[in-house]
Amino acid sequence: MADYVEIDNILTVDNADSCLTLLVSEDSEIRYELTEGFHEILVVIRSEEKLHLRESGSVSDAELKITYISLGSAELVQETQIDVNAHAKLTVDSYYLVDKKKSVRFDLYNRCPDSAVEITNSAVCLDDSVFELDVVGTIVKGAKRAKCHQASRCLTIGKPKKLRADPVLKIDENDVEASHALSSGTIDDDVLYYMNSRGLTRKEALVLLVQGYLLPDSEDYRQFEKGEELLKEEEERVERICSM
Amino acid sequence: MPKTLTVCDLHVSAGDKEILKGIDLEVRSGEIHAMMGPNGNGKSTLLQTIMGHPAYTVTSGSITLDGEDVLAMPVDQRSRAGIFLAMQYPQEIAGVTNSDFLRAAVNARSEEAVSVFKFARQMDKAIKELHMKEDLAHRFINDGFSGGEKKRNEILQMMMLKPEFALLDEIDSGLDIDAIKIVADALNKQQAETGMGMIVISHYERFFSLLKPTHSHIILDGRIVCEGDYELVEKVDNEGYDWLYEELKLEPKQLAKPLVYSLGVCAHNLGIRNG
Repeated sequence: MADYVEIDNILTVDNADSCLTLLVSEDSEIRYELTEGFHEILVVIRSEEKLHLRESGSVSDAELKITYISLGSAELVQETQIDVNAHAKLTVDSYYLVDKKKSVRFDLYNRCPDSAVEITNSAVCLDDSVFELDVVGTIVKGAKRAKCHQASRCLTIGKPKKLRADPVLKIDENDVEASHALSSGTIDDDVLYYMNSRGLTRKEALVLLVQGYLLPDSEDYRQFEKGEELLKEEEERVERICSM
Repeated sequence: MPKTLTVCDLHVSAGDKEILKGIDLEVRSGEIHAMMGPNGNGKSTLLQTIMGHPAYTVTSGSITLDGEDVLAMPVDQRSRAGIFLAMQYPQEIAGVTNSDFLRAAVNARSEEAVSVFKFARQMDKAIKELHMKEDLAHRFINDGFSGGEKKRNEILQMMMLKPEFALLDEIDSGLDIDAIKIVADALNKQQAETGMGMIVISHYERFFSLLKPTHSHIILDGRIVCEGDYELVEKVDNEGYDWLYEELKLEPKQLAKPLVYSLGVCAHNLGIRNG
């Protein structure tokens, strides 16, 4: 793999609270092991060529909030596996704009008691695009009081070639909290009419709707180095792609 | 420069059903036209057709704005040409803030993008005039708004977009007494500043009394059957529409009863018609 990022080495030495921005622009592998503190990672995936991102991490007695943003037009294969151990909490938010092909798989394991996982995925799939999303949450035997909640939502604009989203829960323990939800749909014609009636063309309206649907509030990412700047660039990227 | 919106022998269908059966109407800048009539007779259809709602098909007739064929324009172009429809049921759009939406709409009709500061100043001023909450600009469009807030938001959009002709579809419904006065004041002020023309649908004389329409019309069964000045508004308020049905030898329209369905167990639709 071209890039190997050991996040442990990048975080502060004492493994206290941290905030990290990762700009992934070529095939990469990310690995980390977090053992204490509160950590936030913003992963912005951008490439003009096909990109493969592999990630494996483990979180123990720590909290990790990780956000993935992939609004580029290149083909993406993402495979993320995270082990969530005792007294650890993992929050994942992901945002994908798909105009070519993206294949994303999350394998999230509740390995120990009192571990918590919460994942929310949002995707917008444009005409002729292919999007495959697998979210597999596994609660192993003995992971008592574990929590695993998944929500995925996909918005289609035009006619994607393929949209497949599988939220899966594998539960081998009785004393747990778990849920999975999936919704997909297209933009309401009445919403477009309303926006048109204020003078916006269909494309201008779509740009606003997709930005609103996909982009997190940049103010929430102020703490990241270049966070606001990167999100502003992503906003412009959405405008470019949706205006084509 | 005064403008004229002209509707000529307009026939409109929704699906197989003809709703408008030959409407003629001319509205000039500075005029306020009150549009009245019982529910289900075509008032809203007329305004939606002028705006270009895709559910309605114009089967014959014309709509022009200063001689320009409005029917040939897509909806967004009609808006940029100066037509604004304040809707009876404004859409809720989660994810898009009022300020982003309005700034895009303002920019869509000007050659140069309006500066962020100038736009924010104008929007703050309009928000204050309409006595709306200060955080409105950063809230999503109509998302979680009360009925009255949605209606005021329509007027706020109108104030920012400064149309040549404002079409107001029951904009007073859902407003409390104070809000009706606030909205009417805003409309009067806007008209004094820009000279816009208005077509106003309402069931209430109280709202019209604050706007003082220059013309009034009654639509029955898809046709304008009676026209006059403000006195006609007062007559309808005092006497309703029975005198008109008698005069025209028409039967009041029976509105279709909504069907009541039982969803049954596990949302299995049993389709039981109740009454």
